[in-house]
Amino acid sequence: MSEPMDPDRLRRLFAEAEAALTPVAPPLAKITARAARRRIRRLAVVWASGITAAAAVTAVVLAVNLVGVRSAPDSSPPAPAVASSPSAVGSKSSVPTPGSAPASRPGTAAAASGPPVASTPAAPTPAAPGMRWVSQDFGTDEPSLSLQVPASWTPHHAFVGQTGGTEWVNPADPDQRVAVVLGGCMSCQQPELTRDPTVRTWLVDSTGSLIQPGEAAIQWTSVTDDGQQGYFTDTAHIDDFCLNGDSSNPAWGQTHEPHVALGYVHLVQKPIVEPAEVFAWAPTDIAQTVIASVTLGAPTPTASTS
Amino acid sequence: MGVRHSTRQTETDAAAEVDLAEVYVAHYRQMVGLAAFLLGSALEAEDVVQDAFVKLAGRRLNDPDNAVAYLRRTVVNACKDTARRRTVADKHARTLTVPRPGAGADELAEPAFDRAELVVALRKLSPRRRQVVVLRHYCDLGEAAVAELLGISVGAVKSLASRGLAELAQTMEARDE
Repeated sequence: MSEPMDPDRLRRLFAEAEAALTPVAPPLAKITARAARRRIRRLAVVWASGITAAAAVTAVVLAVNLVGVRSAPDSSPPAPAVASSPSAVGSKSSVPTPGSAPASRPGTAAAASGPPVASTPAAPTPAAPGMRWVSQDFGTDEPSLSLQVPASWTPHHAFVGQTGGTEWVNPADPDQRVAVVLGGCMSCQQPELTRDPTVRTWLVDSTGSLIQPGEAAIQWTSVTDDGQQGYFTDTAHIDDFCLNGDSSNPAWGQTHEPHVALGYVHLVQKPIVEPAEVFAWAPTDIAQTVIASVTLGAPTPTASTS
Repeated sequence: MGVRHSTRQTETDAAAEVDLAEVYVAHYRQMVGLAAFLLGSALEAEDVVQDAFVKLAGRRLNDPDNAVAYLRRTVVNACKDTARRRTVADKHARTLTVPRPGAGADELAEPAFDRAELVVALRKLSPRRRQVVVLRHYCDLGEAAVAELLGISVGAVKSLASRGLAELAQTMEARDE
């Protein structure tokens, strides 16, 4: 490697070469105009990006909502009027009034299939003190039911009805229960099922005694004009669900006195007419809160409709 | 409140315009020189510097010194990008056997700057050595300033400058002979 070039000589060479440069500086206005156009282009890009991002977020939200609706039809039960009203909770009325019914109760239901599944829905409205929201799914194409149950009560599978259901049992007092079943027989007493209030089908009470047709064992209050939804009070303490002699049912032969027995029924139509029932054997205020909180969810769509 | 903000904004804009004009007048030619020595081409240098001033005009100018430093950094980075693009273009030009502009008869059309002895010698340096030599001895920046601008250590600046000067001397001696 030869000796480094003398810096002074280098500066002279730079100066000589620079002298050969004849730059033509454009007017500053041209520069600033280009800067303005560049700023507008960048703003346009930012706006376009923002709009694209907003559209993407909206699409994602819509997709998530769509998936949520299809997979969790009962995730948004409305706030029950009775559950949030202290005076109503303390009421001695044995039958919840139609006005205290949950706001959303679709009048139709879809086909029945698949086993019942209990879950905990994400409810937008807070549960009453000491209560929590739960959901009972009856399978594909079935409407699900959402309701509030005492927070400390433990869920068990209920071997009742056509497809069974779930019971939430008070650990401190097994006579206190909330049951959600599909196909229970209590609604055989529902006048709208037979379309003739004078005709009653038979029922078996907790002692095995037969309740004869025509005996007024249950008081009904319909909450829809088509009679597909209603509340009932079991005045004769028919505490089981027409168990068909199934001795494996843990509820068989049990009595729940002195607790009030309140219930809610929604009739599903397909493939056969059968009831989705909610029973609450509990102190009056708890039973009323449970029954008044019942909300009919949208049916879970089948694969062919989704 | 809004009026005060608006007034202050107008004052800032005015100051920014004044600064830009001052910087433009005082440094345009030097920036063209910097770009021209880095690129070895007077024509490309003017494009690069005009783009750099457009970028500068889009920014708030609070301190003229910072503005010049920003401008210099923009020019150096733009020269790197231009050199990179040129390398790719040259590669494809060779692949397609398209003669380069400036070869043969076209050489007469090459600006005098591009044919200057120093510019030809600078082209033979590695990009990093060329940057250090030009910034140190044409822009008269200190070693620390060059190191900061190029993102290298001061030791590397010293080494690159020393080897760059040696290589320049060797190239120019060989050309003289």
